[in-house]
Amino acid sequence: MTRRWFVAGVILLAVVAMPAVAAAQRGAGPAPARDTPFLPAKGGGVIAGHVLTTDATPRPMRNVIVTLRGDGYRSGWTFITDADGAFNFAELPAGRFTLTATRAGYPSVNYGAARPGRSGTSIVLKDNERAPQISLRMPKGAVISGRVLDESGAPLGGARVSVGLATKRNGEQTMSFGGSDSTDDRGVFRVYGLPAGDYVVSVDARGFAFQPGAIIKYTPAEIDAVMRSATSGAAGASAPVTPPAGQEVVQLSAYYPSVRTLAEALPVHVDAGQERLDVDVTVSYAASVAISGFLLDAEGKPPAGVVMNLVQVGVVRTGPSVFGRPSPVDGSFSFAGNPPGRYVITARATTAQTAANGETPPLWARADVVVNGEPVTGVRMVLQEAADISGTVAFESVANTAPPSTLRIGLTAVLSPGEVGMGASDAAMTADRTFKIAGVPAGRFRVASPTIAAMPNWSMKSAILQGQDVLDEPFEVRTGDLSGLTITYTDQITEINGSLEDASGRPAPDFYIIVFPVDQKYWYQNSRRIRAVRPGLDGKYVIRGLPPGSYRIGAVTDVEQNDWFESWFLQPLLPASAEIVLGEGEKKAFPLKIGG
Amino acid sequence: MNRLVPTVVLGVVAAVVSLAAQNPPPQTPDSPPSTGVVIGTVVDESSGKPIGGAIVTIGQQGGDVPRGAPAQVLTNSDGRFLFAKLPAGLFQFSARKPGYLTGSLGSSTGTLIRPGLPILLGPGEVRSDIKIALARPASLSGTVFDENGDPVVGAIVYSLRRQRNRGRLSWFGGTSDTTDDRGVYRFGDLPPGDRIVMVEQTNASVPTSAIEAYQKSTENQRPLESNPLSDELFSTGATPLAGGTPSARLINSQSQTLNRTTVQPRVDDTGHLFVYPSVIYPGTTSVAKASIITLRPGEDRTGIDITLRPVKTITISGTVTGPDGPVGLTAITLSTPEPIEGRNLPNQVGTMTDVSGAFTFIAVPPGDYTLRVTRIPPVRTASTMVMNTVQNSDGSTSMTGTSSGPAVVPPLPPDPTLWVEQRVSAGNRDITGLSIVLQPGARLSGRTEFKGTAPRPTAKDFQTLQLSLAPIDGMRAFRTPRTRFDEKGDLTTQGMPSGRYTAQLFGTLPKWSLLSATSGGVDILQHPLEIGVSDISDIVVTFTNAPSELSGTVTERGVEPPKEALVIAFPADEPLVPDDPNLRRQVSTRAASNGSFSFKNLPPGDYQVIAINDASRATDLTADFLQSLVGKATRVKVGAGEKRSQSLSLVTIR
Repeated sequence: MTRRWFVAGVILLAVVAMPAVAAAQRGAGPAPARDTPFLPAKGGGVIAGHVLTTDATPRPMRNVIVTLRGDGYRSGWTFITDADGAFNFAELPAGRFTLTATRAGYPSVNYGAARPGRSGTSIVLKDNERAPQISLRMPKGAVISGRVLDESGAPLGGARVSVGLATKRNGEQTMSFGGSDSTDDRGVFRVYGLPAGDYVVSVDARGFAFQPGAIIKYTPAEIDAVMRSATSGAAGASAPVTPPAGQEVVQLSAYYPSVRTLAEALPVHVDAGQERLDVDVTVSYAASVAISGFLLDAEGKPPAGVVMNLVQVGVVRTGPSVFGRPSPVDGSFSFAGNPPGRYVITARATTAQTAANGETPPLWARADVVVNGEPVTGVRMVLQEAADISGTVAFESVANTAPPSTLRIGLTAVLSPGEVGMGASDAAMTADRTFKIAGVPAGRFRVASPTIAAMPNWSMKSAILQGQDVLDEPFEVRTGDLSGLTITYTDQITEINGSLEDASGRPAPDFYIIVFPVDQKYWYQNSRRIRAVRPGLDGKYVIRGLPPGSYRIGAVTDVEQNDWFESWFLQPLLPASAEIVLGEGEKKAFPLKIGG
Repeated sequence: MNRLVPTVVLGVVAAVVSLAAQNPPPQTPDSPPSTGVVIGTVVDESSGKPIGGAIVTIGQQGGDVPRGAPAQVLTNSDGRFLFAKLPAGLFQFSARKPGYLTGSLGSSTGTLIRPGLPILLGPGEVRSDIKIALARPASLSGTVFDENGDPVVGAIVYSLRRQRNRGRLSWFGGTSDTTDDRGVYRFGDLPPGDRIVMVEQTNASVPTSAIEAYQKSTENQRPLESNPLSDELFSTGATPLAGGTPSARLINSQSQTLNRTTVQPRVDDTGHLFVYPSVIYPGTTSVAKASIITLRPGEDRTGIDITLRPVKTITISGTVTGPDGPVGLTAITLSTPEPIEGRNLPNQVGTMTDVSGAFTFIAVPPGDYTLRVTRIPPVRTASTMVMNTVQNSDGSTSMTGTSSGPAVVPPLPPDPTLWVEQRVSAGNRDITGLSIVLQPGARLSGRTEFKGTAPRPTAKDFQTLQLSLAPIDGMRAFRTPRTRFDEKGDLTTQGMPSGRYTAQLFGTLPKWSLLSATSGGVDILQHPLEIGVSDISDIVVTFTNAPSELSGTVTERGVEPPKEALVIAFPADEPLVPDDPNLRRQVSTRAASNGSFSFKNLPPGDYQVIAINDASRATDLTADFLQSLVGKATRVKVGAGEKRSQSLSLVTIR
């Protein structure tokens, strides 16, 4: 089977499993220490080299921070290069290491990565081995600079400018974060140290002087009318004046080239080291309205201890958030300055008791509001009780691994695109292995294990709630507490290991290996069933801790960070990948070969 | 009325504006209809041309802007704005626009320097002659280089301004900028005045055993007292830098900005680190030797370049013990004795003790330092952080938080505050075996008293009061000891390190005004409080429901209200106290458009009162300047509870 796929500029490589050697290995290997150590023991290995520019005649680079990290260690080593660009890490134990070069004004580079921002290749070191001399090339960072101007063409200082790569997430066009700057008194911004790419430029012009509340603009005609009616009265000007309505206005967000939505934005292309200095954006005021209403408790009384938050759906806001409090007299609230669009108002309220105990606010309310240019009044919000989700933690210790004494259980809100969540919550496991996640508002959630990275020898096996396993299935929280959520961890850790070779049998380190589940319902951002790893210089790779199940495994030359969770990326990979089924705790050798 | 710190005015205006914007208070049915109108123009001070797109805000003195009246108005293209539906009252206006200094009516260089002119509006009155002039800010820019002449990228540069703070004139940090990829920084929105420019560098190291102890703990039982050093390290998961040893990790302040790591420490052959110490333009570490840059209005000052040069550091190690033995996991700092208000000191070096009480500073530049430990038992306040998660369309989430709930201080823990403050000199050689011994701080206690017959405050009212004690000399601790008023109005505090403190009382009691706060018969709101090793139990905070007041009208040539008048009142007989943060008896206010002025809740006593023609002098109310006014001022006695009225003639000062 030799096929090549070309999708969106990324070469997908068909991989062939070699079943003759893909023998399943069972049994636990040597269990690493329960707590990951900060630094490894000393040894006799050496990794050394130089950091160089990408010029035609490479020059050594000074003041580069080279960071070496070892697999399985939380900390690493750093070295600052001198005038000759050299770095030298000695006394290293055997192991797999990654190297990263960082210097201000340059995008960070991982050794072995095709370009900045990509994962690197591991350097594999045997006992007392000296790795081949390493050359790390750092491309110069690109610069995107320009001016932000107001409607009259005057420079606008204090505007927040963010640049990011245009990308698609969860079916929606969006931008990642690449860098940001505030405009100076001349309206100038300068975002530097960018890897080459196509960047969306967004501007939030409200600045630091932003104050919540309505901004009203009167036309010259309206002001003239007031002047006339004031001077037509008797001397002393005590004639009653009919005040004009005016127009509530707000300064909009904008994207290059001076458009209002992300969809209309035109990405700015920069090559490595290129300076684009002409990226000017004009922002303008537009008509806005107030959103007002009442927030009451279940008994119809104005509540105390409330914080409300207004969010416009689908708008990248980099400035301050809009918070408010309802009137203690009648529960009325008002948010000014809203251009047409979809909004979500959320409210959290404490009680005297929870406030005193520092607990999560137990009351909440949420309202969806659409603004079409008319003021929105009479939004009625009633506080509801949030749920407490409680349960127990169990450890299935087949390999006699000592369970961790501390861990956290979390809930991740499962949100539709643009949906506004009310906070992910988590709670610590107590000494008797119970937990209570307090103050969870209604919604859909997944069980999460925020501390799983600190417990490499454990994997989540199940989360049983009312007889259902909700570990990878979103479950619904309505009003009313949920108890008896049983979360089971196992020390039966799966492992896929092997090496990636090219057609001639040599190690092929310059690829990403992607493992993803056959079942597409697990294809979501940060899915625990999807992994992307780089093989080491020896072509070897290891993927630990996947849940048992049916997977596809494939290789690609290049992939943007986190794109591997997206169905538009995974779908074309299906026919170019091989199947692998993992049983519980199964350790599988799975050598891969790039199809010629 | 504003104290001699004119920032108060701005704060009041801002508070009124935001309050009105969020929660318009209901208007009482019998108040007269609000039909007043103000029409005005925002203009460029130098050209006189109208400024469109400026936001004008209105604030009412002594009250809220009533419902229905917008608080922020955008000027249209001819620079005009309108406020309608105004009740009778005293109003202040300010305008802001990018590219200009925020200005107030009658004060183009910003309310921070010169108080704005209040406008007195009669019932239904229409004023159409209001003109707010805005001035262009000055700018200051330069390049930061390293010892090789290469630009330093991502260096944090501070522009410090000479400003009055807690009653004294000092260099005050506020604005900072980060150098870009060319090493260039720029402050583009500065008011005129004296500045110094500094590249600040601090470093901190944390024993890995402390990090491990922290990471193993749960949120509710963190073994460490919270402090910026530990918070920064633990939250950012800082990359260990060169010089990080297996037993300690070093972070430095300049490396913590958005991964724009700048120049880094180097290690020499003897294992000693080189670091870049803080540098003040043109190249000194001492504020006294700094070049003062005087900015004229609108000036564009360039070429303020700074070169960073590494210095070899030493290590200082030892142990910290308290009354009960070694004190583990506590923050310990070295700072230079020269204070810069509001900022960390230059060359501040921090670390913490490991679990056994041992510490090592791994990169101390040579110099004289004050070593400090202030270990204050944590007080969990009953306010809750509410977090909102926003699902971005890229699948990521962002969190926004705000605190809610009453800021009530719970009972203070019985554990003592442990502290030490001692001099350490760093030379060329490492210092080992330093034995640091902590001692308990003195506690303060006392009661509240009331002069008058109004209903006594409720338990809840008392708990909104806060007595703030700040050391006069030296650096503020990361966290200051807490003070607490209980339900009965009795005061307790955590232990305080010895020293001289200034006291301020925050919070208000309904229907009661603060009269005094004394210890041993001395008013601690006016005179420094000396705290030694013994507890102080005689603090008395007194409130009255009949506050004294001094008000009146200023006239020029005996008849007309002056265009501009600054009214100043100061004690007639006592010497002026240099460290008085409250300035309750040294007050100034700008007379309103009709010449009226008032000082509410003025402590009773003998005063010198004067109205002068130049409101910009509000910044120079030094003891010498006030002394020079004595012959020209009017002596006035304000009795307890008296509402004293005094007419003044404008005095011309040149």
